[in-house]
This record gives sequence, C-alpha cells and structure tokens, in this order.
Amino acid sequence: MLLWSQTVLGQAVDTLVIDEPKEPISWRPQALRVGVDLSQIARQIIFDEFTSLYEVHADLGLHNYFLVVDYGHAESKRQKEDFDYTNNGNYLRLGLDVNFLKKDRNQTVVFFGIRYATSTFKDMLEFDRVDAFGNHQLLFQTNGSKANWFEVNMGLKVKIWKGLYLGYTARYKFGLQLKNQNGLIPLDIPGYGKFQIDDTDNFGFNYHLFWRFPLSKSMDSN
Amino acid sequence: MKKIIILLVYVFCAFWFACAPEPACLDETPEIKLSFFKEVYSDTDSATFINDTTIAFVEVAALGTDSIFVVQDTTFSLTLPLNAAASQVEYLFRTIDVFDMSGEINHTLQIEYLREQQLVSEDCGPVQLYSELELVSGTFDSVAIVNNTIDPDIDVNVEVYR
Repeated sequence: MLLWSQTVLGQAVDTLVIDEPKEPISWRPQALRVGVDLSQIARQIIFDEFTSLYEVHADLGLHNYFLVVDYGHAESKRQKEDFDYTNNGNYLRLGLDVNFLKKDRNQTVVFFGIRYATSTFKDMLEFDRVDAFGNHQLLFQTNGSKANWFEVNMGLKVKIWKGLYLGYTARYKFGLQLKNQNGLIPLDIPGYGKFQIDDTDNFGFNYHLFWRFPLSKSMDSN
Repeated sequence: MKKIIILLVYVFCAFWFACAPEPACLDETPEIKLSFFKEVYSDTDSATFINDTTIAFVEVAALGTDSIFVVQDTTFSLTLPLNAAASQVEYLFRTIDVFDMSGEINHTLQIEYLREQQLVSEDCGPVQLYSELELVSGTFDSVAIVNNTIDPDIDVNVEVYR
C-alpha cells in the first residue's frame, strides 16, 4: 500500500512504502494425501515375472513440506528349464519433500525430496550345474535378507477432480547396503529393483493416484 | 494441456526404465591355479626356489569322489576344478620325483572357499562366484595362498614348495 503525502509547502511528494504483513507460518497439518502406485499395477500386468506388486503412499502437508511414507510388497518368479528363482518381500520408505510451487489454488505440488528406504525379503534359487565333480542340483535360499538405501526424488502432483490427484515420482537410489544370507545374491530387491554387483545405483519411476483429505481450512498450498 | 504433458512424461519414463540394458553375463571359472616350486642351493649355499620340473603327477584326484583331474603329467603348474556343490575340496596328488624313481609320494591339499550364487539375468542364468580361498590342511613342505580370488586373469592362486 502506498501513501502519498504532500508537504505543507507544496514541495516534493514523499513516497512511503509499507510492507504487507507476512502471514504467520503455520505448522499445523494442512492435508493428508493417500494413494496407490498405478505403475506397479501396470508392471504386474505387463511383466510375467511379477506375481504380486503393490505400493501405497501417504503424505502429510506441513506448510511447504511433506512427511512421506511409502509401503510396498513385491513377489517375483523367474523360471527356465535349468533354474527356478523366487523372491518375496516388503519395503518401507520414509522421507521429506519440499514443495516448490507455492500457493497454487489447486494445491498442485512440484517437489524435491529425500528418502531412507529399507527392504526385507526372502529368495530362493534352484539350478542344475555340471562340473568335473558330476551333476549337481543346487538349492540356496534365504529367509530374512535386508537392504537399506537412500533416494533423492522429484515429481509432480496435479489435481484432477475435487480431492483426486495424479502424480509421478522420479527416483535416484544410492548407498545400497545389502545383508544377504547363505551366499545367495538377490536378483530383485523389493522397492529397489534389480541388483547388479558392479552397479549398485538405480533409477525408479512411480505413477500415483491420490486422494487429498484437507485437515485445515487454511489457504496454504499443501 | 497439463494433463497431456503429465501423461506423455509418464509414457516416456515408463519406456525408458523398461528398456534398461540387461547386465553383462559374468564369467564363471571355478578353477584354482597351482604352481610348484623346488628348493635348490646355489654355490653360496643360499636357498632359492625354482619352478619344480622334477615332479611328475601320476594322478590328481578329489578325495571322497570318483573325480580324477590329472593323469600322467609332468608339469610345474596345474589348474584344478572346484566343486560347485561344496565349500571345500581335498585333492590327492600321487607324485613321483623324476630323479628318484623309488616310489610314489602322495600328498593331500585341502582348500575351502566361499561360493556366492546369483541369477544375473534370465538370459545369462545362474552363476557361481568363488572367493576367499583358504588353506585348511596340506602335506607338502609349504603351501601359500597368493591370491584368494578365483579369477581367470589371475596367474596363480596357490604356490606349493617342496
């Protein structure tokens, strides 16, 4: 708001600028968003090796930040004439996102975030091997292998209709720590993807469908 | 328009990640390489070791199995297989000294190792990776593990001295 004043003597006009008072930052939760990963459902349909894949997501909006949790389950089976590999496990991601799109009236979110992820799984590999000692049928299995890693994420959540949102998350996964058992190196790590000994960084992409439940009547962007 | 862009980005990324290249197949060579050395004395009476060309192998076999790997060979280096179904193997060396044909001299050498198996990809199939070679027991004068990793690029894993 500008105030114009004129001096009594009719000389130069003074201009006074008053800063708009800033709204106090509220850390009360504004909204809870829950969703499912549509890309996991699509992968289960498209790729034969996945017998069960699902992931659920929840985030709690606090000012321009989100507390995020993902939980997922993955089962895979790969089979050929001379081998049989199965993998079954769960994973959990916890993290924080920062919204770079402020005060959008549709609560669209463009975010950058970090995650800590952990996965627990069991797997089994059965295969035939012929060597100088004879023909062997070998079986190796684990029951509690664990993996932990970090992620940096970026993505978008867009309002489609009322409380319904669509969004995607691109992930860069790094810092993998794997505790496998019985000498069996996994092919799949639930939540992480395929494991390669010589390249432990990984990329991922998820496409989510959310519903947003407002918890506050404030006009904040979350 | 925004929704179309979102859908296009999704389709692009889905194809990008679905088309990630498959890993290269790993070499699997479950063999250990042994070199045999004989102690000799020079004019100054100091001991040195040279490739042992005086040892002849009547047979090299794995104890507890019917497997025989070497028959009637005169060499100072051997390549012996490891057992995919076990974490240790004991070899029996039936040898003759070519300068002393009085009779066979038998030696044993027991080695243990770590096996790790992985399904690298459906196309490559399962592979076994061998490492952490360790000497358990042996009847040669002296045995040294000089490389405990099983790798085709390594020239020698075990040096045997007599």
